[in-house]
Amino acid sequence: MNERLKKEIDEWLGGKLSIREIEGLLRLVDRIAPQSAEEGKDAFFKRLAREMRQEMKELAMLIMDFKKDFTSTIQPVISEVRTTYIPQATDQLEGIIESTERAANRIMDNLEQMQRHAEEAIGALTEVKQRVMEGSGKEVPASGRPAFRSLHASVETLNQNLEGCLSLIADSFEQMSFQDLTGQRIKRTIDLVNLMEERLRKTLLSFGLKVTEKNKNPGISGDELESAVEKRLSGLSGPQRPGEGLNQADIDKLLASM
Amino acid sequence: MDLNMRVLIVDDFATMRRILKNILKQIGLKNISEAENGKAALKELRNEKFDLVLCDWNMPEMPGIELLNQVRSDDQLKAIPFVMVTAEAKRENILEAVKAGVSSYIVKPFTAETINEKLKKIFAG
Repeated sequence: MNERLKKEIDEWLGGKLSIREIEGLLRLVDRIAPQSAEEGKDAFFKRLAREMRQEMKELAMLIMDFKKDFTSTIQPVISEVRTTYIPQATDQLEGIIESTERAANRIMDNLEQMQRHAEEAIGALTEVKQRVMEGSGKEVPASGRPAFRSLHASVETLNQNLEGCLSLIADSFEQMSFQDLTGQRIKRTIDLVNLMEERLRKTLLSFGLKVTEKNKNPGISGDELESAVEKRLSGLSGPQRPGEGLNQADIDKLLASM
Repeated sequence: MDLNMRVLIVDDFATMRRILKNILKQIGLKNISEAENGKAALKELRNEKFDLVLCDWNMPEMPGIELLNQVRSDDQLKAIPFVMVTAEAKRENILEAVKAGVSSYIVKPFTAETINEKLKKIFAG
């Protein structure tokens, strides 16, 4: 027994207890103290376990609610997004490409026709100009000179206007390249939408397969479940032999069972 | 620049081929052929003699960069001037094309003036 501790206690108490009584007191304290710590530790873990149980219960409730919601509300919505809205969006985007391409071709047909008309008109005017020039070398009666000058000026103006039209037609052709750029961007958007559809399909399948596997084998561990689902998913991604894998009807049935 | 030279336009978008064809006609070039992807273009190039290739980057079957690599690795074709006409304006694309031996790089949307200027530069040297 600690002699120094006994001496200190004796001094605090001013000799009110005998050394034997102090020794008895210390033995009692020794016996009680560790027991109190154990009791404290036990109570702490009990409280922790209680809190944990409560948390787990709430989590389980949340999962149950989610599963219920997923099956009754979310899953049909996601399924509808995948089977209806995404294909519709893709169709709409492809429709945009087709209609702008059709319009662009029509505009280009018109531009080419306008180009031909303008070129023919310039050809005809060149001939007129030549005749006017030839005429200018001959003697023109004084009375006809203003009309001659006016005709010459008109031919020049017409020629300039037609050249202007050709230049605008050429510029319009250049601007038509927008169709290619918007088309390429829309094509990329379609690819992205298709990718989203594929990811959604995999997510839905993975969730459905996990629920099915767990129902079939309630004792299955997390890792075993992951591995079983992974195996079935990889079986779905490649080409399958007849009788292997899931067909569309199986997939729809699986989704409906969730 | 010889206006009688034979040009091959390679683009999967028919509209774009038409635009390019029209622009080349404005420049004065008349002998123009078309192909809708790199694979079809390679077949054309091996069957007939061409003096210039104007090619898009993004195409199904065989993209423009692959066609460029094939052309540059073919003894019969490697000397043909090859111009990339594309919406891909990223630095890495341009570097890749330069590394593969592209003669010039035109970014969409372009003007007739740009095309004319690049062609003059190629055929002046």
